[in-house]
Formats: sequence, C-alpha cells, structure tokens
Amino acid sequence: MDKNTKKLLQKWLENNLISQESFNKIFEFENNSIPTQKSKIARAITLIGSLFVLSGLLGTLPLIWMNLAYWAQLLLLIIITGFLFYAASYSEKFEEKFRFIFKSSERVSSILFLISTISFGAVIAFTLNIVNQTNILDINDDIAIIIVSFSVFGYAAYLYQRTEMVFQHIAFFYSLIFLLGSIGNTIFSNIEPWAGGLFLVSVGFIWGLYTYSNTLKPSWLGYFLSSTTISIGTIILVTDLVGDNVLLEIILLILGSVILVWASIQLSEQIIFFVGGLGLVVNLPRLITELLPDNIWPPLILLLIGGVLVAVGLYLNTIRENLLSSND
Amino acid sequence: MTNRKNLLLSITILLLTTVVVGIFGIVPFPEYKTSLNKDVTGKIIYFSEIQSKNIIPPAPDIIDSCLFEINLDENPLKETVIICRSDLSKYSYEIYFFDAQLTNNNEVLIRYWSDSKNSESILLINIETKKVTESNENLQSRSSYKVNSQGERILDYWEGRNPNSRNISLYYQKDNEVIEVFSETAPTNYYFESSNWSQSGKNIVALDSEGQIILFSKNKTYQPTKLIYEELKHGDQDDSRIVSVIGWRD
Repeated sequence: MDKNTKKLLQKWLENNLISQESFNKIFEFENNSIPTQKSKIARAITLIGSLFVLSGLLGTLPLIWMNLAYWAQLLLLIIITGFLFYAASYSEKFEEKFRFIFKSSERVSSILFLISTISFGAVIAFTLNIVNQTNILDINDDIAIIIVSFSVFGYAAYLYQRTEMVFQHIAFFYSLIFLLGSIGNTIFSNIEPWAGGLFLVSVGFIWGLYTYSNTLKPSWLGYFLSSTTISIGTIILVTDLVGDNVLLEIILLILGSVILVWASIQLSEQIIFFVGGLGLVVNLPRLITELLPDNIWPPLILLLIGGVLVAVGLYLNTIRENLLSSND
Repeated sequence: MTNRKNLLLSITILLLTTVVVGIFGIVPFPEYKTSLNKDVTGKIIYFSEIQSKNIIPPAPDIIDSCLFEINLDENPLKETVIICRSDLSKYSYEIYFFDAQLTNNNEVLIRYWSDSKNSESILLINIETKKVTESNENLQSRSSYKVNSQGERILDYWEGRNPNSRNISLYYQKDNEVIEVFSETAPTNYYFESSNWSQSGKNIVALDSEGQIILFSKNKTYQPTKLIYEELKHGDQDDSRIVSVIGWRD
C-alpha cells in the first residue's frame, strides 16, 4: 500500500474520522489494487518487449513504406486508424486496477484517440492524393486542404464530445484553427500578417467565451488555449502594424498583458495570470531598456520587477484560495 | 450565458473579423501587362526543378533539375528544355544550376564539382546546339551577373525595401545613384526571388514569389510584363517549379 495513503488512513482512524471496519476495508481494497512484486516483473518484461516492438515498427515501417503501392499505403493507414480507435474505445472500459504504465485508463484512451486523429487526417489526405493521381477528380491543393481540415475537425469534435478529455480538447481546438486557417487562406490568399493575428485574437476570444459558459472542459485548458492564442495574435497584430515604433509596440503589449492579469483575477483563473505575467516579465525589461539605453540599472530593475511580480502573484493566489475556502 | 447567445456572439465576432480583414487586410498583387511589347525580343533562360506531386509522405521528390528557355520571338510562347542534370551525369552528380550564367558566346556557363580534379569546374552549354564542352577558363565571380555591361548593379529586393511596407520595388545602382525601375503596392509576403540583366543591359528579367517571370525595361520604355507561356508536360505525376531566372539573351 502507498505509504502516504497508509499514513493518512491512520491519521483519520486516530482522529475517529473513520471506523476500524472502514479502515480495514480501505486497507484491503488498496492492497489488492496495487500490483504485487510478481506483477511488477511481468509489467517490466512486457514494457521492455513493447519498446522492442515499437522500435522495430519505427525502423521497419519507413523502409517498407516506400516500396508499397499507394493503395497498400492507404490500406495500412486505414487499418492503423481503425486499430487505434478500437484500442482507445476498448481501453475506455478498463477498470482502474488493470491500468498499465499510464496513471489511468482514461489517459491511455485519450492518447490513443489523439494518435488516431492524426492517422485519420493522413487517411483523408492520402485518399484525396490517390483520387488526384488516378485523374478521377481534379481537386486543387486549397480545396484538398479544406476537405482534410474539415474532416479532421469533425472527427476531433466527435471525439471531444465523446470523451471530454485533455488531448481531445487540444485536438479539437487546433483542428478548428487548421480549418479556419485553410478556409481563410483560400478566400484571402494574400492576407497581411496583422489580419492573421486578428483572426487568432477572435478565435481565442470565442474559445474563452465557450470555456466561461462551461461548454468546454477542463476550464484551465480552455483558458490556457484561449489566452495563449489571444497573446500570439496580439503580438502578430501589434508587431505588424506598429513594429516601426518600438516604444508604442512595447506599451501595447504591456497593456495586453495587464488586461490578461486583470481577467485572471476576475475569473479566478491562475493559468491566465501566468500567461499575462509572462507577457509582463518579457515586456517590462524591454520597456526599461528602451527608455534607459546603456544604463546599468536595467538588470537591477528587472530583478525588482520580477520580485514584485512573484510576490503579487503569490498574494493574489492566496487571496483566491482564501475566498474559495471561505465559500466552501 | 446560453449556448444560443454564445453561438450568435461567436458568429458575429467571426463575421466582423472577416469584414475588417476583407476591407483592410488584403493588398492586391501588382498587375502586369501580359502582351509583349515589340521591343521585347530574345530568349529567357531559367532554372526549374521537376518534382513528384505527392502530398503526404513520401514528400515531393526532386526528380530532375533543368535549364529551360522561352523564345520571346515565337507566338504563342512555350518553354523548351536546354539541358537537364540527368544529361550531365557523366561529368558529375553535383551540378550547380542555381548560379548558372550566360556568356557572350551564346552559351550557358554551369559550375560543377569535378571529382577527378577535386575542385569546381566549368561546363559550357551551347543554347542552340545543346552541345556541352568542358572549359578550362578561370571561374568568374558569382556576383558578376548582377552587373551589366554599363556597370549597373541590380539591388537585391531586401536592399531596397522596408520589410514592413506594403510595397514592391526594383532598383538598380549606378555609381552612387539608386534608380527605381518599378514600384507598386503589393502584399507584405510578395517579393522578387531573383533578377538579372538582359545581355544588352536595357532590360531586367525577374522571378516573383508567385513563380511568375516578369520583364522590366530599365528606361521604362514599356510597362512591366508578365510572361504567359505554354508549360512543358513532365509526366502525369510530376510538376515543375521555377527556382531562379538565369538571364535574358536579347
């Protein structure tokens, strides 16, 4: 049994929080759920074997891939996708005590579903390629990319709706970016960089909106994807439009970071604070260097600002935790 | 907030963004004439790579590299092969087409790595007869083709352009003076990949980032003209991509 759990159980028993009977039941359950020494050896052997199989596959596939006909390559991809989907669905039904290597069976299926999403995209792209090669249809590259991105987006959305797990959330978000990017690239082929940044800001904002309304879960990931996308978009937008005026560029980026920090306090979401805080940590020294060129003070000011930021961050976090615990 | 409100708000944001981008975020490509002026004559020589059309792994392979020419005196214009890397394999497998140069003797000078001499050597290819001869001449400076017979040098695009400006320009330099040949509003990611003087030193041929060959008059006697020509078929599964323009024999 895990030492920490054992200590915790004993502490609860001593404080009469649980009965002796409950203690025994929990103790027995925990002891049965962890692997024995024998099963650990079996696990290790299987793990080493799996690594050999994986390295063998990785070494062999590229060699035979080039020698396979197109239809055979497509068939291989379809079989891999089907197998990954089946394996992920199967592992979803695992009981926790049968988990292997990964910390939970959920994580196993989440990773398998993620790899199956990539494999699914490859199947669609390859099918279109073969259709083009055989001259059945003449699909130009832009349309082919839209078809691939739309299919991957549909598959990722289905998987997210089915599992609501972290990797499916990430795949759902980036497949949406890929889809919007491919449509935008077809409609506006010679788009200016700032316009691309504006699109990113819009998509990040919309993602944040859906996270706020609890449609997207977990909320920390939704806010993380939203705030990073808004930040990247803002950097592109500001750099392209006012890049010639470095001081204005830095001030606008600092303003954006402050807005993120403010939003993090309003939403009580640490992850947005980290993204905004990173923006401040990067841009405040740039501002100081810009205002005080060739000065020995900047490193010292940097140190002071860093210290203040860390203190403010920790302080805000403490307030938030206090508020949460008082609400409970 | 209900899902319907979210959906409406999201669509509104995306539509607004699209409208703003559509109005302010698109800079059109420069427009070029497509009909050739009577003063435009001679042959344009350029270097292309022939690639397989695969979309996903195996990634597009470079099947061959060739020098092509377009005879401006023909109508309609069409490209023809001068020579390919595969034709020169008996000399070397390391043929450097990217910095090939035109000579005054109706030939293209190509550098290659000679294993027997363990140094760079020169091949001369006659444009008309396609005859290949090895040369013992000393190697010319690689940048010499940027300067014409009047000592004028074409500026590379990054020398005459502010990277943030929505503008494309072509300049040449004579002594201390920089003279503009062409300047037009263009998207930020539009530029001239390579440019060369014609042998007379009166014209410039350039390859733009869209893979188009554009002809310019140094003295602006005619408007910049885009070459529309019939491309050679390279097999069902292959495609060609122009890498650089080598020169203009006029």
